[in-house]
Amino acid sequence: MRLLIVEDDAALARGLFKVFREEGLAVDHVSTGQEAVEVVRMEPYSAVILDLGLPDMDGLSVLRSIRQAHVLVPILILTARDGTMDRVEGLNQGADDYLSKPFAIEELEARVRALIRRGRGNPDPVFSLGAFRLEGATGAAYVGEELLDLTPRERAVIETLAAKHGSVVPKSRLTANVFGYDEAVMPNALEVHIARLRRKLENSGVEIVTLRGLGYMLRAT
Amino acid sequence: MIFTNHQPSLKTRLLLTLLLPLCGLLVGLGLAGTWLVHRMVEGASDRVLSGSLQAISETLAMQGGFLTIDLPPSALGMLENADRDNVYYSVSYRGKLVTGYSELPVTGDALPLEEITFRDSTFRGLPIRIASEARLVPQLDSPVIVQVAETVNNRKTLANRMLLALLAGELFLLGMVATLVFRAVRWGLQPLSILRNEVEARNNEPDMDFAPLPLSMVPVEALPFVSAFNGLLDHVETAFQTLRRFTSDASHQLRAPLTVVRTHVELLMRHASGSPELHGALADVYQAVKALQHLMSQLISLAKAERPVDENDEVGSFDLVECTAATARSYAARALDHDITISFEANTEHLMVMGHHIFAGEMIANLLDNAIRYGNRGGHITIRVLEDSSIVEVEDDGPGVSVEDRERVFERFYRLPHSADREGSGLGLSIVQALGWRLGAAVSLETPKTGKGVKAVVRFRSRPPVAKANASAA
Repeated sequence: MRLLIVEDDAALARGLFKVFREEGLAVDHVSTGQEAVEVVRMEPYSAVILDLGLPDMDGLSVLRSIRQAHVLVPILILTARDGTMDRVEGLNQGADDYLSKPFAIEELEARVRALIRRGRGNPDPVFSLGAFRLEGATGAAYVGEELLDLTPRERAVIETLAAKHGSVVPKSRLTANVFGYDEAVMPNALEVHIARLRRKLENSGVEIVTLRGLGYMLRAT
Repeated sequence: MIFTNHQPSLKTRLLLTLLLPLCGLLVGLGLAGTWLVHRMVEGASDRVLSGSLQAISETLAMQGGFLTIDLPPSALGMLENADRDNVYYSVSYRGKLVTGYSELPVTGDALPLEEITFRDSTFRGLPIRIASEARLVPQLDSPVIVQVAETVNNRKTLANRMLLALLAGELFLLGMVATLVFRAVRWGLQPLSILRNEVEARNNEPDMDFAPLPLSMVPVEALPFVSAFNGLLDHVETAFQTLRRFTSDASHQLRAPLTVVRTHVELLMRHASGSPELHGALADVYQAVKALQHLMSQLISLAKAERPVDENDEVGSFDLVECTAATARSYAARALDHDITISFEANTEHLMVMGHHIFAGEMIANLLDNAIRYGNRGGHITIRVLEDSSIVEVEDDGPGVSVEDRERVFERFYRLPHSADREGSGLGLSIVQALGWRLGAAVSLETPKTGKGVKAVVRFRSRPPVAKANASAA
């Protein structure tokens, strides 16, 4: 798998180069928009990291040129500005993701991995956090090697929370996903399922946190 | 306002320049008037006196060898008046009294014939005025001297009355001029006090208004000053905007090198195989980089919040419950990382308020950030939306903010002594306040009911009820 980094700042480019080589990717680096447009048409890249602040041409024009050449490689844009205009404009011009400087390396890595997976049409089917693992295809949930015995409602809860792990899922959304919109639901029905799920997740390295008035969150302990 | 060492006021100046010469003028006028009054009174009284004298002296005649005189009642009656001046007369011939008051002094001087002379004298200790005439009577070889005198009470009274009237007139004039000067100065300065009110009103506005002062009300004399002031305003505005742009631009520019530093530090931390000292140093650098990054993004936020209101700020309304809950959800993970729990309460499902939801969200985010950053481990943050006054409360049970510090914490870079060990920019509440000004929302810090921690209260502008708006439109 090959990654192209379009970055005029040599120091940052060296850092990114190292990060992704350690990830096991073949990394190319160019520092101008012109080079980027040329090289991206010749090499089969899995993903491109494009800095919008380039010396020779506007990053958004580079993006446009690449898309006009019918190159469908996933592109993540980096910018020193955090204006929503930049982001909307970038995504409109065909970028697949957006990150503003400065960023945490883990986040950039995670996003690039996701882009590459998406480019292969193969989103990671397995969710894992701590010792907990959830297989997307089968819906089987494991703590370590032990298969958890989950009811369909409990499975719906954990799947919804896992899809948004680390963020709060409002109770209304969770209720809708678990029971469907038309079902008549007892007020504390959801709490009952969550309480059972919590017992099953003991010592799994993940927990379901209740945030009163806001919703629930799945997070690593 | 306190003025020290100030110049005398315009009123004082005008009064000094106007009243001093006026006083001099009035004194001169008074002196001339006094002289004139005395002359007039003297002249008039003397004419009456001489009339009496003539009436007497006309009757002098020789009859049968005797000098006869007929005192016509009218002669002395003329002299009678309300003030009862005493009237005396004497007729003498060759120094000898013929008739009348012997004490009335007869002038020794040679009197011109057939001419009336006047002189002042005393009679029985009282000042008198004497009219004398030396008249030739047929058959007599020497002139007969006729004298009529009167005490001077009447003329003195008359003169005093006239002088009093003059004095009253002068004082009235002086008072009028002083009053007019005061009124004229006040009226003349009225445009300036309107200008002052305008400038003061701007001072009290949170968002500085650098628009030029209106020139329509300004009198011609003050026009150069106000124009110059407007020029200064323009300069200040340019400088102000440049400073804000600079802050924003500089922060943006700093991001690129900071990204480099952060990337390499993170890489080094992953692979550092050196001593524990190296690991410690790297961790410190990493913390510092993160603090710097936070500071920069706060600076940019502040610059944005303080940006002058423009047409992009179209006043809309948004659901405060939804906005607050969304912001609270986005901070939940960070709070949990700090071992702090968050709960949200709202006494209504939806609450529409005026403003832009992005600004409101950023305000609440900064309050939450503070509550998490400075809160105690194991603590709790409660976020409330209260329908009654469109209030959002962010209450924590952390170390709190003492009453004395509750104004100062809104100042830029002001940090509480007990929070010096926490990573913070000292800009959070400044941003909250600036955004509050933009939204027309008031921010204050209060003590929670529990007495522990601090409660930040934001009062938003509630949306006017639709029914009311329709009614006023109809």
